Amino acid sequence: MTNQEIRQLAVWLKETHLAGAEIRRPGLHLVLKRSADEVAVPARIAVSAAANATDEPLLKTPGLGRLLLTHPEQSDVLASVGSRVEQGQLIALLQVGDLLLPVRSQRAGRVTAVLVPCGTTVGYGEAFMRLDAA
Amino acid sequence: MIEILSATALATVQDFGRFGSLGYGVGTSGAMDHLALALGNLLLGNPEDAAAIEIPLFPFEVRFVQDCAFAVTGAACEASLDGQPLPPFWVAQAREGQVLSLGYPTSGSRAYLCLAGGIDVPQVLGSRSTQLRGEFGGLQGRALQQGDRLAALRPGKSALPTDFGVVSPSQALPLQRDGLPAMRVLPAAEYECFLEDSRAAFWAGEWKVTTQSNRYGYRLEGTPILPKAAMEIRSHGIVPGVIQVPHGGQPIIQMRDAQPSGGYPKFGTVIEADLWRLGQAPIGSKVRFIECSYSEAVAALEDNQRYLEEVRRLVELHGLASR
Repeated sequence: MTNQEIRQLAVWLKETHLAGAEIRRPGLHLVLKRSADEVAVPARIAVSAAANATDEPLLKTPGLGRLLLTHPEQSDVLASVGSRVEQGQLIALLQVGDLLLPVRSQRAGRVTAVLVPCGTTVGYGEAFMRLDAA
Repeated sequence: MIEILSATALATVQDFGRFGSLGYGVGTSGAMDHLALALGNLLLGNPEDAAAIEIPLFPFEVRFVQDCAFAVTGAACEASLDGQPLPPFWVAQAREGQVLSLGYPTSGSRAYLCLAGGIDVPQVLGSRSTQLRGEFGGLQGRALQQGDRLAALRPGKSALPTDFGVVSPSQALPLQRDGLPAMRVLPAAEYECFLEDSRAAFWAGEWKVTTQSNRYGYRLEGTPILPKAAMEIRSHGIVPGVIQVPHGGQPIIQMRDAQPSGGYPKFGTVIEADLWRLGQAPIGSKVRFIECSYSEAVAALEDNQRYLEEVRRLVELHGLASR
């Protein structure tokens, strides 16, 4: 990725009012973040392996939409506080228009806190649940 | 390909129905909840009217003899694949040997199991729907039995994304009156021949879906609907949705497998756009009716169409984004 391409990306982010972009490819990890009105100069271009799922206990949203903690047709909460979840288990849903996209746990653990009320509109990468090692 | 594991009754292969042959006395058949069928197909990238299995009795269990993508829509029925719970109105990829179990519904009464490409059975008179009275269409013109095997038209690992769902029709197109599910009804030819009090009672009253309710017709229980004078009418053509009132005043609503002709007086017709609501009303539940005009009935059809179009558009976008 050339500097010119990165500058173009930054201009597009500003025009579309997006908060940032993150691109991972073999040999490339690019993070762009907007600060105030100006699009920041690219912070770093790291030639590194992709980061693994960290020990960080916070689970983050995979995209923009309405975060649902219960399926609209069901009454039980998908992952209640205090319950144990397995890796890959459905813990929330992201509603995008009429579609419901799955939010699955990246690892096993115990839900210790739910940080966002059901139905909140969320952006990409927002912390919504705390999962501690069970 | 799937194999039916459970001892089941009344499950049939249905698509949207058999149209164009009413004049020959061949009823339409087809899914009681055509929206759920359409949504399952859209989730799989199938043509909207591809054939699926309509399941009215639970529990129900099938084994996947081959890898195949599938969707379960309609009644929310505690679906699970090899023990892993699946949300309602969801599409998933099954691997050979996996078992899909459907439990008792917590809402609605009929579930639809759609397979990638649609169920592969021969078409008869342009449709894959099962015509039970005539014993043709679907799988050998009969309800499914334990041990039956049904092939999908597009088995294997799906090239389209799986593991996502859609907001159900009852959420997207809600219609209630005083807390009960409601259906819109057009007054029919003999509407004016009924007593004014009876007509008012029909719109104001709660109607219970009795145990004598099935794909042929729903018998409702409520305040008797009485005519001004006894009527004798020759048999004439009728369609699903027609509300007949025999002696005794308890209405019968013709459903998908109804006879194409009948001679009882017709009070009204449940509009085509709301037949799915009735199809999902469980036995013992109560419903309300809302009077509507012809143009409102047409607008309701357009609302349904718009919802399906929006789902199709979003599913396509999701497919593009996942590549």
